[in-house]
Amino acid sequence: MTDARHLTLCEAADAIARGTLTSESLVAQCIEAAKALNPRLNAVIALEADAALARARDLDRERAAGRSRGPLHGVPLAHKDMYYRAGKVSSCGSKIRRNFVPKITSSLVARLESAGAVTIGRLHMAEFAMGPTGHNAHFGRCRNPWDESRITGGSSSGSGAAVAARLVFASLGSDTGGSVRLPAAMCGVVGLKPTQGLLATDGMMGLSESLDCPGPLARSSRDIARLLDVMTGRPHEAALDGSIAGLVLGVPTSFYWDDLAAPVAHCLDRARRVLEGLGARFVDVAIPEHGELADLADAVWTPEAAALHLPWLRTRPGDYGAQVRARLTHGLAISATAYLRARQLRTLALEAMLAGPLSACDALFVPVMRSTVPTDAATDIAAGTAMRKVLAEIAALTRPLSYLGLPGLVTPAGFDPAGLPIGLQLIGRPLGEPTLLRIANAFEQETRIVAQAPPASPVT
Amino acid sequence: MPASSNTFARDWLRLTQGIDPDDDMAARTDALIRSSHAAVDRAADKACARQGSETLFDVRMERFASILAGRNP
Repeated sequence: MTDARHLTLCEAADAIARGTLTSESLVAQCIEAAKALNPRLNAVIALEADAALARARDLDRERAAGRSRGPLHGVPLAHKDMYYRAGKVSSCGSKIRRNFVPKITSSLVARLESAGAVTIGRLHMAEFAMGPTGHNAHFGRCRNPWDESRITGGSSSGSGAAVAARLVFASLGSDTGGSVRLPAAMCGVVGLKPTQGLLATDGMMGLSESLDCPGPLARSSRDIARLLDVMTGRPHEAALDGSIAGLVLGVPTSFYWDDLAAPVAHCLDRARRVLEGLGARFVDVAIPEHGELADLADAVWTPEAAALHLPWLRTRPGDYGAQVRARLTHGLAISATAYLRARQLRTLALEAMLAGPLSACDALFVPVMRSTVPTDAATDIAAGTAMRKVLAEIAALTRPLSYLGLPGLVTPAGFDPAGLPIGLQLIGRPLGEPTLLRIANAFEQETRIVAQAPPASPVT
Repeated sequence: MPASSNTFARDWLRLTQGIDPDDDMAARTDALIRSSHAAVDRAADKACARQGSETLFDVRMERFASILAGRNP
């Protein structure tokens, strides 16, 4: 029998609902897989095996009695270790909060659990969600299931690795500058940064009140749609089906396509041809200047983060990893006038995008990264100035979108010659998630790239 | 990095933020003050030029959230 961990979230939930699969067996398989693989991947900070299995048994009894909690009944999930659950540790990937026990529960986690999800543990993340690689000075590196010498991307590193390795069916990450989209792309799964404000941020560790954006990672756009249904109360899964013929995809004539690595360009070209074959129409679109948007994003999020961290920066500077403390230092240096002007410019930049390229197409079609997945060594602090260049480049195509507040969906587009995933990024209008999901779902159904599992996800 | 730049950043961090920085932190802070503020100034100048205005005087930040939420700002 096929390992049930290789089902998608929707397939697993539907099998449990039909009675052909139990939550207990599924949760047990995921926990066993996590125990077996985590020494290699380091994707899980803590498993909660006993509590998860007990809840799964309760849910199986309810289903046998004809009751269902909702569309996620019995499905195992785990989230980036910054989503609070009252009475349970949330380390935020840090030494400073290693034993922090919140008094409140994230409303997103509460909604997922109310719909029947089983939380099986807490997942690896960059320290305080600052870092695009998956490195963590306190918890060690998270490793990519496709090649353990490569980074996972971050800061939702454990979410990307655990979903790809079939340890859980989906995970909440957070995206302030690319932290959902980068690990989704590098680990070969689907990730959504929704429209700023669509998903509630209460009970979630704060980094930047202007840019923080919770977002799900899963193994199909249909899974993402179902999670959005639960978290927003608006129908997304029902809007997935149907042809994408006639939809217009815009290809920016500058910035996003500059200096792409050959495997990335080749892969996205093939993806474009697939979408054209499905009836989508591609048009070139001019975009407003993007070169300074990353700097403007930094002028917004870094002082907001520094303001949150200031007491610890004063009293416990040695308890931060060197890279994180350096990034917070940036925030200390931004003047109030520069911060406020960067926020004012955000409005103008958004208006220019809506009046320009996004008035001429249904979504933009762009890469997630210019390069293929970097190695651990190339992004290690020991690599010195070369490392800083690589780090700056990793999030170059994701940070502008965070500044603009628009939705961005990443889905696997193929693989490079070394077998590492390459993602494509669809950028939508405000609240345009249904359109992005519909396009990605059609692509996934046609190519089945998203169904391919990495080597580090053995069938047990 | 000129010593005077580091001194400025060191004093600035200590006096305004209550943080006593090491050399690397002071040097980095000095570089970031210059580069980030220059980037914001450049972007503001361009935006004003496009709008034909001298300043960002009439930009209201709540307009951003209104646009994303689909409300008429």
